[in-house]
Amino acid sequence: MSRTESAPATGAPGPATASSPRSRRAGPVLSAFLVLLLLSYLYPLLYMVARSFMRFEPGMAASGVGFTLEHYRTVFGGAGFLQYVLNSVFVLAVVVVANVFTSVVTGYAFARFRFPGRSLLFGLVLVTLMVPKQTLMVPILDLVVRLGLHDSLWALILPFCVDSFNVFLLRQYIAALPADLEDAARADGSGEFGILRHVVFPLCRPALAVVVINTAIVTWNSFLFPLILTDSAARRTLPVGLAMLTQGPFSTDWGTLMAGSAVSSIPLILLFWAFQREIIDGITAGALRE
Amino acid sequence: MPINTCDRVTPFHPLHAARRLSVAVVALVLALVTVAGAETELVFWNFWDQKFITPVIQKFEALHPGVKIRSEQLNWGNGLDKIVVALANDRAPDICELGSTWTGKFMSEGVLLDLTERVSDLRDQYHLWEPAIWEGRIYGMPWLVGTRVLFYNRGLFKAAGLDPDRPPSTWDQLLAAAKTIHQPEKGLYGFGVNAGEGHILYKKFLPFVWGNGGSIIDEKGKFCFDSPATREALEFYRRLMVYGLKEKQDILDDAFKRGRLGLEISGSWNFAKYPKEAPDLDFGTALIPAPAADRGTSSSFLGGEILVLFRNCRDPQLATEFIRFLTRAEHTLPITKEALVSFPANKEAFADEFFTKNPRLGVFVKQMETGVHPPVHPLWIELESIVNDAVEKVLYGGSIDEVLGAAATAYERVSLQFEERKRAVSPSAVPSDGQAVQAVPAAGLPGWAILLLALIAVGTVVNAILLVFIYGEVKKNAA
Amino acid sequence: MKAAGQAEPYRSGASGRAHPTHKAGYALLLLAPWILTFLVFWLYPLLFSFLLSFCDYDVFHAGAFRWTGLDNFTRLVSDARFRQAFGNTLFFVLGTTPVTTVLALALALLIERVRALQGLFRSAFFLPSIISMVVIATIFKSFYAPDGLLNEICSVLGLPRHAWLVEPAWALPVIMAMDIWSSVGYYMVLFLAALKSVPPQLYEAAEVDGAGEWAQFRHITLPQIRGMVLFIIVINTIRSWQVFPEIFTLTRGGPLGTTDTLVHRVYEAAFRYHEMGYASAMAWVLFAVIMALSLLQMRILQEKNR
Repeated sequence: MSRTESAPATGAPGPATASSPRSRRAGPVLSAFLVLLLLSYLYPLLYMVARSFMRFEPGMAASGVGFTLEHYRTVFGGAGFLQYVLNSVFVLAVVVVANVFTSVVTGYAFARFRFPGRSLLFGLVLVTLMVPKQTLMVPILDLVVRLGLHDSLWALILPFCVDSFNVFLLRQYIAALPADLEDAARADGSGEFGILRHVVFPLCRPALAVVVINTAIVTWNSFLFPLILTDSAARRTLPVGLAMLTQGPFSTDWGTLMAGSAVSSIPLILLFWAFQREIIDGITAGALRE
Repeated sequence: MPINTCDRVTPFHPLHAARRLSVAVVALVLALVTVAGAETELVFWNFWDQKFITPVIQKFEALHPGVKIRSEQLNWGNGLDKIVVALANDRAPDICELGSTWTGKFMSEGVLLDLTERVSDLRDQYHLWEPAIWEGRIYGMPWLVGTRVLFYNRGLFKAAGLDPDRPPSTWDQLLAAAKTIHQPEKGLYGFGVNAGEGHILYKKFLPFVWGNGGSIIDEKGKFCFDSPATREALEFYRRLMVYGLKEKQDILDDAFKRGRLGLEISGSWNFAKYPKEAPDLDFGTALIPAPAADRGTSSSFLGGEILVLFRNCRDPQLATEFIRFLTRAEHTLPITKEALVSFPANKEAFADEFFTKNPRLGVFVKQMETGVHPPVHPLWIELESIVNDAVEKVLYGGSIDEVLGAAATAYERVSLQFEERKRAVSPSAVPSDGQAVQAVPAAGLPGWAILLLALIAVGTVVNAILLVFIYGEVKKNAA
Repeated sequence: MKAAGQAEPYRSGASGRAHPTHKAGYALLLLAPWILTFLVFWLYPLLFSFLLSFCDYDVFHAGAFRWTGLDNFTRLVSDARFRQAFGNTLFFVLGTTPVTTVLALALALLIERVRALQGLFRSAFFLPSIISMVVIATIFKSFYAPDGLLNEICSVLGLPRHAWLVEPAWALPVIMAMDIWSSVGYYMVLFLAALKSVPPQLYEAAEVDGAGEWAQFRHITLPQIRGMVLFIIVINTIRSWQVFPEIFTLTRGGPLGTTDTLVHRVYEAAFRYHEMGYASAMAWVLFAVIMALSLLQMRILQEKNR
């Protein structure tokens, strides 16, 4: 059930809906403004897509451009493109799934429990977020080699199965949730893991959608680690493969770069579409609060 | 190179121990691999599309049964980063392509194999040996070579009343031509001045210093950038800049393509773009102007790609054979013909009609004879940024006296630091030709490694318990 | 200590009390995956890099370490480029973080009120966050070119044209503008998530009491989403201090070092000059700054809330 009137309903306490919990609504002026903002906001991305189809027409040196699929042919035709995509997808899938689990568990522990050294441990969570990774490359390659993970996709997965950003996010999120439900479950005799599984986890769904999206973006676009930790083309991920394809010694192949990034952003866009409703609608506002 | 690496007198500390262990482990693994593998495999890191490399490797492998060359591509933006990180972990490839301005550092640090006996017979047949030679020894094979020349827009020359068949050959003519063409209100610019990005400007400015008889490092190894020759060149550049477009290289190339720029110093990569994207663009190439008709020479930046073998190369003999094979004219020409960024270092290639039938490319070939490679120096990277900073400051209005003074001070500091480090590390800590491996004492596992292994073990157990727990709880709750 | 660790439930009345200490064992069990990953994969690199900041380390000779004590740090103090980069980075952080946060919140509040096509708006504003910074920087490079979009707009508006990325006065500000553009949508979505968790009854009650829009925002929305605000400010600050790919793609610190940033310095020291020890020293100074700031932010924002 949702409201249909667009004028502010003064104080009428109707049933709250997830998509618009409040009586305050945007008028047509505001909507028009947003649309304008949206268009100017999207312009650079439209440019990216347009540029990926552009060809400079012979004979029209100044401005003439034509349509071409050449850049996409270069991207898809590049040796190993499919392999790069498969590698990227595999890494993405494992890392994302792992993070969904680890971020809740870790965030829950930091948000709800007092134990000696908690501040210190949480400080360590932040450390990995704050130290520039460039200085860690030499020892991390050393480590990965010793663990026998060098030139393997697991080198791009295992170190990233718990991400500090996600832990931080979930800690903030869980700390903000009322503990009543957990207490109630505890009073009902639920075990601690039961509470985690059946109470905390469902409550965290919006934050977990953010975790999925954030982890996906970071993992999918990751460049430095795949570059250093793998060597062979068979283990190459998409961003590294595209860098090989588009970077020249003195120039960048713009058209191919744009085509490549347009192609590589499609999975993320789909993922965002799939999970964004979860972020916003995951909590049927009010229902869980009472 | 000192050989007495066994008696290092460095005090013990944990990093050291970790490092030694790593060397030992790698040595062990390498030993095992060498014993186990009947087939010889060599790893080759390079920056090119593999379609240029694979056919050559296939040919080579066919000629050498039982040999495998594994080629792995690096990207131009971060390839050096990867090489350095690998080197720090004793995991450098057997064969590697290095930019010619990097080799000074690599050779002086002693991380490359001496190839003098294996390649000196080719000295006369190739360009660009300079960056492969350190203290009289040869550490690499020139593969590709490139230079920069003066590009000029013949159409704009005609429009401005200049003779398009007589491009400027002296500084004064260059200045006059730029001045005549420069009409910024109409969107026309005289000369393309590189600005706003590091590591490029020096390539475009130094030719004026070199042509004027100046240099950065003299024969005795002293910093001599502050000279009348440099000052003249800077003053000239400052005058030229007034009639110029100050931008990044790719934007300058683009402006030239659109017919907005009269003159620029650029490279052969434009030949891959201009004829295709702007076939009507009537442009010519010329040698970079000399200071005057009766004084100085036309000079340019010379650079390229050098093939080297790292110290840990598993089969130097075979690797040398491979790089000799790879640098042959017929194996290098395809790269030049398609990518057009650099030319074969092998002189034979220039007999190809690709060069002889294209006068605009012929200018490049001619410019190469007077081109100058930047000093092959252990501190070149630092020197490069000192020079770059100095020129950039002048471009943005700095006083020449101050700027050159600051450059001298900066060099002073950098070289002092270098000397100090050399004194602290040498002579014993600089291992050569794989001696480092033998210098490692057969120590047991260091503390941290034991700790790590223990943690992994404990962690696995804890995780297993955790999983069982969760499973139990979930089941209990479900019931 | 307390500021970092204490997770204060911001909802007064909700009993978000932390569990007593006897649950410590269980908590450690929960933390096991993280602790393991940290110990196995991050402890060694972090310690290595930390110890390296007191060493002179020759990348070319894996065995050559030289303990130099505080030399790297004293050198930092007298390093003009480092000081300039520090100033630039500070300017960048001060110029982007507040703007991004406020814009993201404003955008979230606006979009929340739109009913039609809300999903489209959300996705569209979020899109730039999906694209890698290298590509975004390449796109903006063409906008900032002499014949690029920005100059065309300036011409239409009668403003002077500029060589945006080449003029020392403009290079950093235009990079900051790009950065704001590319990250607003990301934080907007986080804000939206927080806004949606505010119980609507609170607004309804406020409207009954006759509270205006601003009063509702000030007294209901802001306190309710404080946890997310804190998170966004801290994360945004951390990320801004580490600005790098846009610099690397667009200017490499030029012109005249006006776009040089701390992480770019770290990169140059580590991979261009091969001074890993010095680079590590810079990295840890940067870390100290970020950590101190984050603790300060958490302390201020959490205390306000009591």
